[in-house]
Amino acid sequence: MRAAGVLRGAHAQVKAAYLTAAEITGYTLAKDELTGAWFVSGTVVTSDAYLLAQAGLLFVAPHKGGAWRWVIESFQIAAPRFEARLKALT
Amino acid sequence: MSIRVRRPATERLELSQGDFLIVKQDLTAGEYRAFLRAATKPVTMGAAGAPAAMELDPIAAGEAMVLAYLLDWSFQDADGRPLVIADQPPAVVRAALDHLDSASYMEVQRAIQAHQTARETAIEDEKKTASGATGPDRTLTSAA
Repeated sequence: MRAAGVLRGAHAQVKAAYLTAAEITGYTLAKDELTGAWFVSGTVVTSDAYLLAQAGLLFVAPHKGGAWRWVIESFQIAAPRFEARLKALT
Repeated sequence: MSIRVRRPATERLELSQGDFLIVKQDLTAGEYRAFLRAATKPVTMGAAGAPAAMELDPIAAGEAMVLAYLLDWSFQDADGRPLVIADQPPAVVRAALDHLDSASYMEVQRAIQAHQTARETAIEDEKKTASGATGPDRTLTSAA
């Protein structure tokens, strides 16, 4: 992957609707310059196995004025490591 | 056999002055336990045969209920900027609640209490219906 830039944050969540499927700390977001795809990695603090098995998960990164939300295309957890490929911002 | 998991749903609660809250329609079992944990003190078991008592802290219970249900609102800060709580960490939501004027906080708490009571009634009514069936659209869809 050739990253066009990275975005780092302290705290984010994986959500199924409004329910928290996982809490992620120390995450890094990177956009592939060639494909435009977003990737994120971080550390899993808490996770809910039931919710993580649901469709339509979102990666939600709060910021001061609200939150950025990406649809998660695929993800893997090798505790405590979380990695996901994201679709466009919602 | 019946469906025992509800699809996450929200409701909009209207407040005075055109404001509104967005709240969870229902709590999951995990959220309900967390709410009870925050609202009550640990039970001390008495001697055999003695009744056990549970202490409820009404102040903590009110705040725990608000934090359990509240997702978003239309409130603004003193400068007229949106008071953002959606998708924010619990500490941010709690801090925002703490800085409301007391009358506004109580209006929020009363609205959510009324919502909780209405949902309890609705769920009891659902159980009494002849079919008692809940449609498949009310479950989370498995990705598997």
